[in-house]
Amino acid sequence: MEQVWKRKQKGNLARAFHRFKKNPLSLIGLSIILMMVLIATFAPFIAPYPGDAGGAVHFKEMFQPPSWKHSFGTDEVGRDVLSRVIFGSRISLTLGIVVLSVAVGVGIPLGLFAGYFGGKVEAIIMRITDVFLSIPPLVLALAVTAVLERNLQNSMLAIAFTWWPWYARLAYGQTLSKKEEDFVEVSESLGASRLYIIFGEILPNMTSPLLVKITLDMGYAILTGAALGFLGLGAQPPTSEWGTLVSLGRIHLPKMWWLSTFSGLAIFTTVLGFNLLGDGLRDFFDVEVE
Amino acid sequence: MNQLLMKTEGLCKYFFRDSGLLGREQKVLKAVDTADLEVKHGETLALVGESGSGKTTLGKTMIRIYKPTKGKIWFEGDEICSVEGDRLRHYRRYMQMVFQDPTSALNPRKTVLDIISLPLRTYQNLPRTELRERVKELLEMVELPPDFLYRYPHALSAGQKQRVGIARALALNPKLIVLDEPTSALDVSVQAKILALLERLRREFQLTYIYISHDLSVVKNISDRTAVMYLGQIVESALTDNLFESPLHPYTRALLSAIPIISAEEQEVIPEEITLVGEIPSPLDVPPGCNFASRCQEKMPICEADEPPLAKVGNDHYVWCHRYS
Amino acid sequence: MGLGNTILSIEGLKVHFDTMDGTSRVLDDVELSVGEGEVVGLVGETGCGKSVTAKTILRSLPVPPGRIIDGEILFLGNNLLELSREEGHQVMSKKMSYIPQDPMTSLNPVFTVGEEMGDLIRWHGRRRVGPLEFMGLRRRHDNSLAKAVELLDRVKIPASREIIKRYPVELSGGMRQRVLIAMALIGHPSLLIADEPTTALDVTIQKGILELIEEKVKEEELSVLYITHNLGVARRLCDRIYVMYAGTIAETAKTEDLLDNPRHPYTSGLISSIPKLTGDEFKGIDGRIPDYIDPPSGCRFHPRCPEVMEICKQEKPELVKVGGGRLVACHLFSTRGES
Ligand SMILES: Nc1ncnc2c1ncn2[C@@H]1O[C@H](COP(=O)(O)OP(=O)(O)O)[C@@H](O)[C@H]1O
Ligand SMILES: Nc1ncnc2c1ncn2[C@@H]1O[C@H](COP(=O)(O)OP(=O)(O)O)[C@@H](O)[C@H]1O
Ligand SMILES: [Mg+2]
Ligand SMILES: [Mg+2]
Repeated sequence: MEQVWKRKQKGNLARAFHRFKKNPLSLIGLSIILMMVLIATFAPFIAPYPGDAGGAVHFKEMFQPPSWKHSFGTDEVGRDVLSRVIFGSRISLTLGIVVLSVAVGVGIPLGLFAGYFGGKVEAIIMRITDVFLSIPPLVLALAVTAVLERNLQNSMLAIAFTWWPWYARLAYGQTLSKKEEDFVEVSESLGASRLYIIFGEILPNMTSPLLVKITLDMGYAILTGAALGFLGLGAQPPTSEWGTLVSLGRIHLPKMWWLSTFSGLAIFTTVLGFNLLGDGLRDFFDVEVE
Repeated sequence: MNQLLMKTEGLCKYFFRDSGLLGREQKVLKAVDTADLEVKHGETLALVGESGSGKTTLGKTMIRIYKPTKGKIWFEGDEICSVEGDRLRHYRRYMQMVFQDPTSALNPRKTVLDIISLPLRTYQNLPRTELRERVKELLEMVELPPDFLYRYPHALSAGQKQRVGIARALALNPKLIVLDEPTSALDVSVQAKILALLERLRREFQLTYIYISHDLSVVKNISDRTAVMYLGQIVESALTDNLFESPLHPYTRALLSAIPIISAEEQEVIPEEITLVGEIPSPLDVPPGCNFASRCQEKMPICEADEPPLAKVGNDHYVWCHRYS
Repeated sequence: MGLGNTILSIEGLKVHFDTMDGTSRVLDDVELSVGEGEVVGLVGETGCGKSVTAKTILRSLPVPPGRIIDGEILFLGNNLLELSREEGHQVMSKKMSYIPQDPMTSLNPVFTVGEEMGDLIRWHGRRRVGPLEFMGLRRRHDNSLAKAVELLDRVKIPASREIIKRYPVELSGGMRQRVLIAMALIGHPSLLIADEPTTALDVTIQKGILELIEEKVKEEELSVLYITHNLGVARRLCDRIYVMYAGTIAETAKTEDLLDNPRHPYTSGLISSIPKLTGDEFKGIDGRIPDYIDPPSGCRFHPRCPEVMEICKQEKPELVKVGGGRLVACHLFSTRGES
């Protein structure tokens, strides 16, 4: 009997990997994301013309189609599109991370408090959340960026602003079900502090759905960031941002197709990567996330 | 041995439910209604009754996990019904609980070390190494190997989880432990082991148990005194042997005669067959008179009118029934 | 009883599950038979494969992850495992019925008791159901409701006319279980399979249900396969008991013989684990049910067996006759059994 247990204990990680492996799509997703992270981290070393990420100008080389020298072609001022797309990954990933950190950092505690304390606290927090949830995110983000100056920071802020209510709701629902469990009653009867119960006992029980949601949302946040960039409300030229790149290249379609296509593909691949991984994690943890 | 550890008088726990449009009406659910009990040092008091009869609520109210609606509780002579804050915390460390559902009682995200050490961490400020040593001791007490320290609950069987729950209840050297159907989620082969463990611990540490159960065969074997509950009220209480020998309340007799037994010798112990008619009324609107009247085969006109009075029918044998008053 | 024809007989049934962690070899050569008019108990601890056995007989085993590796299930002369879906339904729908464990989830919450029972009655009457009727847009004026009331009366539900208008949530657990029994009796089945129908109920309610089943068995000449983990319940109801351990049949005997004089060490352990009203000592069994992915070699009970021998670790004991119509799968008896 002890042997059975040992096998189970030792096997936990291996088993997790085994389960994960069963779904090749999530492995593809994971590889895409790892690649993106590597590219973003080492952008200056990978990009053939790191200087082109900013406002460099090489008029002699403008609008060159993909070639050995410029695999993704060059843009209207002769900058290497590949290098710009590579640097764009930094912005998109940063945007995703910042947006979700803010959303999680704000939404989760609010949801936890609302769920745990109930009563007035719950009423106030959840009604505010509902108001935010009733406005389409992109519209809300547009409104925020319309008021503030148009730059990358503000677009991140705008997206985060529309994103936290989802996390508040997630944490709220999870808390409601977890606080009924006996282990919460045990901690309460022992007189453990409320903050400890909320963050030490309840919060760890929502890591799986949280992780799944964060992964899925990374893709959507990047997509939203690109959309704002596309509308000219995000990072401003000459910064290399995927949405902005697509938007700027758009006027030269279809003749100079390489301007928009490659940055568009970059967005597509990244979002797909996060989605595949998120789906895989969802099956893996076997959790429901709206 | 015969000193009083806890005594309750007219202990009530009501839950209030909003109902009707916009929650205007408030319905009262009398989960525990005027419970009078005495618990002596070192004894095991069993609370038996069907599900929904208020056993868990009574147990939790007695050790002040729930705030009583009415009534009095004395613990070692101190009235603890209305104490709050630090004073309550002081009493509570002597009164612990083991839960019915071993899975819900253990946080799935915590290791056994974290789970068992929680009471120690909230009550004492022990350095990490001492904490671990103490938890190891506790594991040994409940007959689990020390390498369980870093396991998570999902890697434990139901019986092992229940042992961890018991270890946690023991951590602060309590005097009284409420055991809420600690074996109802377990198979009989494991139940027997847990019951033996509990008995050993009780002797070793001079513990007093309030043992909640719906299994009368278990109760017969492990308890000194038994109180039978029906719809929030105690209907009969006596020394366990007396209760099984001469059950008085019709409900107690019905309960005893319904036990699924496995041998002819046991047949002789249980009273003649009584089949109950009907269903337990909704606890939200209990008819007047005796709570049991609607299912009682021996009811008299008075039973549906007046609440039954308490009758003392022998040494330590009490029954709440009109037939004996 | 049970001397007549065999109505259900299972031979060498092996059922595996494909799980994330590997193949779970749950049922291993299960052998079981139910005679005409016989009430047979299938007893064992949680997770020993009782429900999997029932589901396999009822052809409701989820496939995948389940896989029937080997064996045959003869029911009224047909091998259920070889019949097509259609044929299987033909044979089973009328002649075999089922009482599930959980009375809560087994009734559709959006139908009243009357609607739910009426559908089943009409279906058993083989009346064609038109699309309008199917969607509940038109009610056939037939006697199905009257029939439902009659059935509820037969399972001793008071105020049955009231009850048929209720939704399942409005009924107590015991009442729901009675409704399910009434539904199981609709087609006048020959075999009733009940999977722990009283486990979720209180003892006084359980007693009523057991009495009801006892009575129906006599009235309707039913054969019953009654699954439970409670030996006391099995004693009350069953003529014969199968004791199951970890997907294998440990032993079978007439109820009295089994309880008074258990042969298999697991049966003895189980019986001596039960607290008795006589106050006799009770002790449990060490260890726990094994993991099915990597089950113990030889006899699956050997790691917990107080009388384990060398051979138990290597060879799987066969179910052998030990006299008195008893079968035991244990090496303590396999040598003696030959004589
Ligand atoms: N926290 C609660 N809120 C409202 N009603 C409750 C609560 N806990 C228990 N009850 C009700 O009190 C009654 C007694 O419940 P309980 O003490 O759990 O019974 P038992 O333990 O005997 O099964 C039941 O009707 C139950 O629905
Ligand atoms: N759908 C399934 N997938 C995988 N394993 C299953 C499935 N159904 C049952 N099992 C396994 O079969 C074993 C026996 O289960 P079951 O027949 O439900 O036991 P019980 O005797 O308590 O009714 C268990 O270990 C369970 O994990
Ligand atoms: Mg309870
Ligand atoms: Mg089962």
